[in-house]
Amino acid sequence: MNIFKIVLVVLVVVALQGAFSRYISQIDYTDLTLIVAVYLSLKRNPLQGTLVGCLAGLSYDAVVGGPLLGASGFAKTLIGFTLSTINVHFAIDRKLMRLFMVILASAVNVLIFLGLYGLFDSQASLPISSTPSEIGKLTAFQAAGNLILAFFIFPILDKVFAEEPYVGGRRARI
Amino acid sequence: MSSAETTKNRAPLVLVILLVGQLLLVSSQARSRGGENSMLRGWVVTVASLLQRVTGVFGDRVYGVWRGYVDLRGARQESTQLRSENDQMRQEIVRLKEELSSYQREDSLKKVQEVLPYKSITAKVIARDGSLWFNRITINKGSLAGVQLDQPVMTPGGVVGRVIKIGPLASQVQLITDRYAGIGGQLSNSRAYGEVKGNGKSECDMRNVSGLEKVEEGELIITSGLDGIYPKGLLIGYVEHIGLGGGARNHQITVRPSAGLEKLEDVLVLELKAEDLEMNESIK
Repeated sequence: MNIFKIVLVVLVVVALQGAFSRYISQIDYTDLTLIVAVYLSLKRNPLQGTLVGCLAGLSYDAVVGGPLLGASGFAKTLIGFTLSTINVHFAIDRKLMRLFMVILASAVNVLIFLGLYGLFDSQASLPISSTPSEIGKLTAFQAAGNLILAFFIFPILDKVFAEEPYVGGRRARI
Repeated sequence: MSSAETTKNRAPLVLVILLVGQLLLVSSQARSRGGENSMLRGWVVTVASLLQRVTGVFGDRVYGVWRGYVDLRGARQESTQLRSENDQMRQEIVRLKEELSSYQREDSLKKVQEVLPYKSITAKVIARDGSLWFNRITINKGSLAGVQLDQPVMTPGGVVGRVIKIGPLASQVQLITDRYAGIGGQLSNSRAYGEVKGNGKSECDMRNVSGLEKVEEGELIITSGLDGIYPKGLLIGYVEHIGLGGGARNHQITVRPSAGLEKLEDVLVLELKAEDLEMNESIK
C-alpha cells in the first residue's frame, strides 16, 4: 500500500477534523483519525497498523487534541497494532465486523486516552467530570458518532485504497 | 525468513518503541506542566498552527461556499415567496381596478338614468357576435326584466342599437354599425336630417344629407326621433369624414359612433312609452 497515500489520507482527515469542528460542534463526538486508523489497521499488516495508529494519533494530538501530546498517539498506536495483529489470525475485516471494530476501538481509545490523562495530567484539563457514568455516556456518544461516520467513510476509503490485481509478479494496471 | 515475516516480527518491537516513546513524551509534558511552555510543545504548536491555518482557510472556503449555497437557497425561496406575493397583489390590483371600473360604469349609468327622461333597465353584455356578417351583442336581461322588442339600447357615451330578439333571461341587440341597422339622425349644428346606416365595420354612414348643407368634421350627430324607435336627442356619434357633395349630390358622411361599441360592458335598455316616440306635429 502506498505509504504516501496513507500519510496524505491521515493528514487530510486530521485537517478535516480541525476544520469542521470550527463550524459543526457535533464533530467533537467523532474521531476521524480513529476511523482511518481502524480501517488501515485491518489489512493484516501489524507494522502498518502500528505506524498508522501512531501517525493518526500524534496528528490528532497536534492539531485537535488536548495538552498531552502523545496521549491519543499512544492509544491509537496500541489500537492499530492490536487490530492488525488480531486480523492476521481472525477475519475481522469484513464489512460488518469493521463497523463493530470501530465501536470497540472507540471505547478503548477513550479509556486509554482518559487513563493517560488521569495518570499524567494532575491539573485535569479535560473538560469532563471523572464520574464513570459521564465517561460511559461520552464513550457511547463517540462510539455512535464514529460508527455513523465509518458507515459512510469506509466505502470511500475502499475506493481510495482499492488494491490492484496481482498478475505475474507485477501489479497490473487496469 | 521472508520479508513479510520480518515485518510481522518487527511490529511488536516497533509497537513497544512507539508506546514507550509516547509514554515518555506524555510524562515529560506532565513533568513540565508547571506553567512554562516546553520547547517540544512550542514546535508542535508551530507546526500544527501551519496545518491549522491551511485547514482554516480551506474550512472558511468550504464554509463560505456552503453558506453561500444556503443563502442562495434562502434567497431563492424568498424570491419565490415574493414572486408569489407579487402575483397575488397584482391579481388584487386587477380585481380592485375591475371593481373600480365596474363601479364607475354603474355610477355613470345611474347618472345617465337620472338625467334621461325615460325609464331604463341596466344590463350587462354577456356575448358578442363573432361573425363577419353581423354586429350584434347579447345582454343578460330579457322579457322577465321587462325588455321588449325594438327598445333602444345605449351607454352614457351614446346609442348602441336596438333589441331585435328577446328571451326570458337574455336579449340580442343589433348594433348601429350592423349593415342592416338604420337610425334617423340629425346634425347638431346644421340641424340637417339624414339616415345613419351601419356599414358592417366599426363605423356608420350618414346618408341623404343634402350637398348644400354645411357639415364639419367632428360635428355631433343625434337621433332625430323620426324612425319610430329612437327618441329624439340621443347622441349617435360624430362626423369622422366627409365626402363633400354639391347641388343635387348628397354629402358622403362617415360617422364614428360615440358609444364605444368595441368595448361594451354595461348598457341601458330604454323603456319607452308610446308618447315618447310621438312625432312633433310640426315635423310631421
